[in-house]
Amino acid sequence: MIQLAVDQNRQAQQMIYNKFAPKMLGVCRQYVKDLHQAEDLMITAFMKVFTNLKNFEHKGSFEGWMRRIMVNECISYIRANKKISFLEDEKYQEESFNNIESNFTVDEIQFLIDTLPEGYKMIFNLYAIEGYKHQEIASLLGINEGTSKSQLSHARKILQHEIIKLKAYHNGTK
Amino acid sequence: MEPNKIDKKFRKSLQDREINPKPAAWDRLDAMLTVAEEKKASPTYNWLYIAATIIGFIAIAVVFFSKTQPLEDIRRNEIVYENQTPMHGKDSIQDEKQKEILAPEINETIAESTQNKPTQPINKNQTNLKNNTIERKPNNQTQLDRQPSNEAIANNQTIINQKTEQPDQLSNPITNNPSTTIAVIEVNPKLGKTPIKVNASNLLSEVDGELELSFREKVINKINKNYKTVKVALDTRNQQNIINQN
Repeated sequence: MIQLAVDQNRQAQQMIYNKFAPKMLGVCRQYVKDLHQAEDLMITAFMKVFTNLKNFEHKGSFEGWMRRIMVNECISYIRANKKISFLEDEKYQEESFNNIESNFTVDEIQFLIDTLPEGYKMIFNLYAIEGYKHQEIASLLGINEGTSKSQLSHARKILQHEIIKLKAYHNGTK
Repeated sequence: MEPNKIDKKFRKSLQDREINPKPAAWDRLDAMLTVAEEKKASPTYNWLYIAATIIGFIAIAVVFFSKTQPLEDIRRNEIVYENQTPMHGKDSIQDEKQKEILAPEINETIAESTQNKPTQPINKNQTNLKNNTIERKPNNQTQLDRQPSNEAIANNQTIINQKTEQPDQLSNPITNNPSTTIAVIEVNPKLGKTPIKVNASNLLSEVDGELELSFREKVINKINKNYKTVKVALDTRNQQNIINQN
């Protein structure tokens, strides 16, 4: 099917789109709060997928390759349109959040992530959800590795605070 | 910094999340893909257009630069000097007399030639030539000055004769009767240095030629000037480098 899509077979392209579009829109939604904007970014990223399909080397999974294109598109958009300042703060604390046990829905988790500032959100998504290493994040965003670590630490702190608030809301104490 | 429990929970719930896009999203993507394919198909034509424009510019440049040279030659050959009629006392009266003497003769010859010649355009040329001789004659002082014009007329007449192949019918009283030319000279012996009048049409063509030449010269001068400035700048830079190295 991928080979057919490389040859610009529109049916094959549509089949790939139908299969992966919902998942890819979910990826874009992690980074961009506005669903319409997330959809626009997904379409632009799919355009890049189909125009660069001949460069796919079949080494890793096709979904992983597409996912990286989606993430790159979202980061490019955020960096171009939103003011993000990464403080060169290399001091970070190893904190454990393992004591938090809760069963949040997907929408609640997305709500918690949306509370983060753009810079923290990007680094948390890249590290915690996509599984990037700090070195990769640093080279992708043009920051120091230490800055990436400290931003992640700050993001986790905010999330912990928000989770406590949400749990309190669930328990009816707030 | 290892991924902790919260990271794992978030990843598990978000990594497989699906949000269905709008049905119109595929239509938009389809349109974008179609436009991209059309763009990819057309770059060969772009090169053709570029090549055609370059060739066009070269052709215009060749025509422009080759056109300027012959214009100069034409300008030099076509200068016609007309003699101004003097406006003082006896001279002017003598001129009028002279015109009166010459006019009937020339008119007669024109009439004769028009009757004899079957072809119309050649007759016109001849009459024009004769009129030119009328303009020239009264102002020339010596016979030596007059000779070139008479020779020119004679030459033109021989050309006309060759074309029409009727040498007997083309008879010019001015060239055939040298006595009349001498008489004309004698009528007007006291003329001083007469001012030269330039034919207006020739003057215009001359000015056009000069304008074209001046534009060309301007372009060449600009190129030379820029080349010299660059050369001087490079020389100074090289000298400074040598001084710095030393």
